[in-house]
Amino acid sequence: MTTQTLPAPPVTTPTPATRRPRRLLTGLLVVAMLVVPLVTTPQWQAIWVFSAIAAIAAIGLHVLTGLAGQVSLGHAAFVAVGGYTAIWLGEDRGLPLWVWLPAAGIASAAVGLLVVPFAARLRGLYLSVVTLAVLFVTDYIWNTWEGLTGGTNGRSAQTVQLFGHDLFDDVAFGPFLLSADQQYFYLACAVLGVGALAAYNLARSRPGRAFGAIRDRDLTASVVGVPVARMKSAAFAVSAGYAGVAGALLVGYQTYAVPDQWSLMLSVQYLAMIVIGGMGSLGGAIAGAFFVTAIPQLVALLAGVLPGISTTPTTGGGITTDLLANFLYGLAVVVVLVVEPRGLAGLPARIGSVLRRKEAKA
Amino acid sequence: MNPRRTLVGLSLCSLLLAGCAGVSTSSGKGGVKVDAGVTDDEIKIGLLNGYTGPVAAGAIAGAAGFDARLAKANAEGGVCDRDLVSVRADTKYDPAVAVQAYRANVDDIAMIGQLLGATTIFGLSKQIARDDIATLAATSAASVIPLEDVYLFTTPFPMYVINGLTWAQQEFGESGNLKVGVIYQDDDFGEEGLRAAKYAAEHTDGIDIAAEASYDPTTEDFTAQVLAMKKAGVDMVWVHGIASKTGPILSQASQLNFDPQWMTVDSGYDTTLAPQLGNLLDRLHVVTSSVPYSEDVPAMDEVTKYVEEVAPGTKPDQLVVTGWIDASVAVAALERACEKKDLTQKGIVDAMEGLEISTDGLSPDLSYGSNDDADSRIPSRETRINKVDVDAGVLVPVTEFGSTPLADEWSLSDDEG
Amino acid sequence: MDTFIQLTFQGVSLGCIYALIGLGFVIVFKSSGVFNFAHPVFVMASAYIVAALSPFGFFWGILTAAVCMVAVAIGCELFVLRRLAGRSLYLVIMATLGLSVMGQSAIAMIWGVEAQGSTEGPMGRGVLEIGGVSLPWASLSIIAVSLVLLAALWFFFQRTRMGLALRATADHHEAAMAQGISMRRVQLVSWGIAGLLAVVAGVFLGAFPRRVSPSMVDTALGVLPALVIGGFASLVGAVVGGVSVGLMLVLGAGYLTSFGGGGLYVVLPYVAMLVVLAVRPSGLFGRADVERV
Repeated sequence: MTTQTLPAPPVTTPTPATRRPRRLLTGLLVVAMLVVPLVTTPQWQAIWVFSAIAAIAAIGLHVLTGLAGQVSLGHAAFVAVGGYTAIWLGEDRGLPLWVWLPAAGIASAAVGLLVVPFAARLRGLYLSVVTLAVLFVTDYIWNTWEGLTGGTNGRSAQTVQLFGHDLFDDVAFGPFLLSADQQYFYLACAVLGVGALAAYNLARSRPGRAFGAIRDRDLTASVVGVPVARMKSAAFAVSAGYAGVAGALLVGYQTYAVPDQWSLMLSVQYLAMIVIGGMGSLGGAIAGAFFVTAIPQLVALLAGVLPGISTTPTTGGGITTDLLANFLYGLAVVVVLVVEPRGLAGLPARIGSVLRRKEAKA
Repeated sequence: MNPRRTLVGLSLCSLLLAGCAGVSTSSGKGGVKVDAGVTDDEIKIGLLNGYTGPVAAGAIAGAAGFDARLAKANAEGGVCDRDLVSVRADTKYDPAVAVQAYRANVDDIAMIGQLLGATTIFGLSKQIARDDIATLAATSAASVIPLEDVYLFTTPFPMYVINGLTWAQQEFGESGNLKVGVIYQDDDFGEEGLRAAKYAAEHTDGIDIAAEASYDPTTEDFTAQVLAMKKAGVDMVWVHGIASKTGPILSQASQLNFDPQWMTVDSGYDTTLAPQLGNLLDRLHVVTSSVPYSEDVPAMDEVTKYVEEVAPGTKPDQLVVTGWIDASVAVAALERACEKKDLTQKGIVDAMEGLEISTDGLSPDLSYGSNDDADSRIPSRETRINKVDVDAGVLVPVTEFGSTPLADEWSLSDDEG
Repeated sequence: MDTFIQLTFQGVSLGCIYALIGLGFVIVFKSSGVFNFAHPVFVMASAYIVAALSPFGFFWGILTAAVCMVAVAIGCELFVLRRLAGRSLYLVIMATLGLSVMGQSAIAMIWGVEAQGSTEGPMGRGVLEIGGVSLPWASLSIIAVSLVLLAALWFFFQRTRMGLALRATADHHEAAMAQGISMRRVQLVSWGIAGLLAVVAGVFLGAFPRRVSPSMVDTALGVLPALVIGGFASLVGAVVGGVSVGLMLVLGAGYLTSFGGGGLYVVLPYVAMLVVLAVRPSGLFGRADVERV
């Protein structure tokens, strides 16, 4: 085969000295993440919610691609499976969140295992095309299975209730008000936190190391006794499980689901998240999810500062905020790949090295 | 300072800030009850459209027409002594983004003046009903009429089909018999058209649906669909789909030596088809429920004048006119709500009940009945038939606005699918 | 019987367009190992350029489009993909997807979002009648031009030094380099050829009865199952795969409407592709050793 897979740079194990500032940084970021939605405008709040949900799906892809080195262009399909499972259980059967949320993950993981007969035999381009085929075949199923999905016009999704409280009702704490977006954000963050912790531990467990061995060279991995086929299956299932949970939360927040939304572009977005965030980095996957989701809003801010960007869309072309946002999103992917393969996750290290150089000069 | 204490302080501050948000009803200028989107100077109206993505062209034209009508209202002193302002939010024609756009704006607008696309409308319907915000739906799909707080401002599609087929029977039918073929887009939009055609055939002697063929919106070759029509020997083909596929369907039929009469709905035709199709358009009739942009009626001068003012360089597009009609409904609803001294989101919903609007001949008159009776909220059942002026690509009326008895009898329960 | 012949003819003509698009993918993939998801954008961009310039003469349009596309394709290779040489396939795919998104937005910024005329040029709208079957000149030209191009490509690969170098590179990078073949030149040439093929495919895809529109990217991406069926690294495979996908779409639309909600023909190529992957993962014309673990 003409393509060569070079081993990814080894994960640097932090020494005790570097560990402390790192922990502090992570802690600060987590706190910032939890506080920011309270102080931002409604425009941004919706973006925070979508980001947190996307981050869960991105972690799934991080496990599959970042850790185990398998490519999937079909991630959106697994998000959809989770979404429709949640709709079926939550809306049609009236079951509570405690049932539909885990069930969405499990159902999606099960569907993920269907890819396995192919995944065990194929790799690289052929595998990515199989995952793409899964996307197109499921797309056909969603459009045809009207009983479940409502056909092309879609259908309404389950109401998200916690302890009998509908998350879309505002909650008042004395004089304070927690809006629907804020409540939903914290729910998504709680799930994200659990998911991130699990993924963090997985990477350091025996299967996690086996994933790494497969990513670096599956032939070698099998020689040293890693059950390659089984591990690949596991990676697909875990990844699909994350996607399913994200799908359940997504349709719940949208209150609706339409077959057309589970498109290739959605899959590409999840991939872009882990690329921009930095391949193989858990924190990067989460940061990437927030960045990619926020790009349109960032460009809208930019349009206020830069001349020549039109905020009113026209049919005749021209640089409008929406097109520019799309363009920059593509550009971000390309630039990260060419210039800074470590992505957002590499930024602290890069800034650190610049600072240290300055210090040395002074 | 103890970092933990700073943190607690920070989060308390932010909670305080968050507490300031949220909408509450209050009394504004002129003793009018207001909540979201209405200040003493302004009434904000949301236009939630897919300004990028597959329907961008229509979305942009529709919003331009809407803004033009608001400019006219403002020139005449506004509503309730307040200026009308539109707020645009891009849905990208994607329900996930639409939710984002909706949630970001719903607490900042008095009503949704334009929400484009049946799919997006369905996608937001649950939240619209929940927030009780009046929403004018930029679609002609009959299936959205039963949704709570959602109002059409055009004649729904089934009326197009029923009126159109009845007219075609008289015009093209040999001794009253008309063999009809239906080519429809394989989605809810197309299937609604097919159901209406079947309804018309069932209830009319002489109209017979001899062939039907669906196509997926991604289809690039229509040989199969056209051959199905040709083999059945139909006199007329009803095309229920989007304009970008009407071109290929008519073109391939001509290549396959199939030359029936064609009819389609307004969204199945746009002026850019003319240079490509040329004389093939001679046999095409288009059913519409608004006056084409090109037509010389008194109200149209105003449309062009104000469009040139708010969106200079806007291309002549039929959706500019429907956008104007749409805004006429919005302005009328706000005026009525103002009379009732209640410009809250709920107040505007109440004002829709029993609203009657004349659009100065740009479309049939529109009327809205009870909020509890979906059939009474069908704004109009009238359509007219147009042919195409091949040189300019514009539509020229063949009939006046009107409805057939069969269309008047039709009710939403007849559209079962 | 006439119906069958008619559908088959149209299927072959649509399939030829897919074959031309597929060849663009395969040539780049063989020489540089890049699966270029930006290729559909090349196809669309050429159609836009030809349509925009056709008032000044169809062939000027083609010439400009050809120059632009070769430049763009080579630019992508030089400034992006060459720098990713040796990185994992996944990152390369991601880079081309990023380029594709950029290209689509750039085209929308230049030409807007509405359909933009047609690229029919001298192909015209005439129809040749044989028996009960109508053969439009446009479809006939598609098939004829495709055949000529295939012959030219065959000649290039079998009979010229550059073609030989390309084949050698595809077979074994290191061995080819050891023979003194300049990898850089080989890759530039293959990207250039892909750019040219995109122009031809773009012109056919945007010609009567179709129109030039932003949805051309999705249509062009529909070539993926054709590539899997034929095998990613096989020129013959791309042609056979392309034509069979065209046939499946048109014949499926003709004969399968009573099953699976009528839209079954749309997924038919993907189902065929999964079957091929399950039975013969390297594609019908690929080598068996490719990509098996």
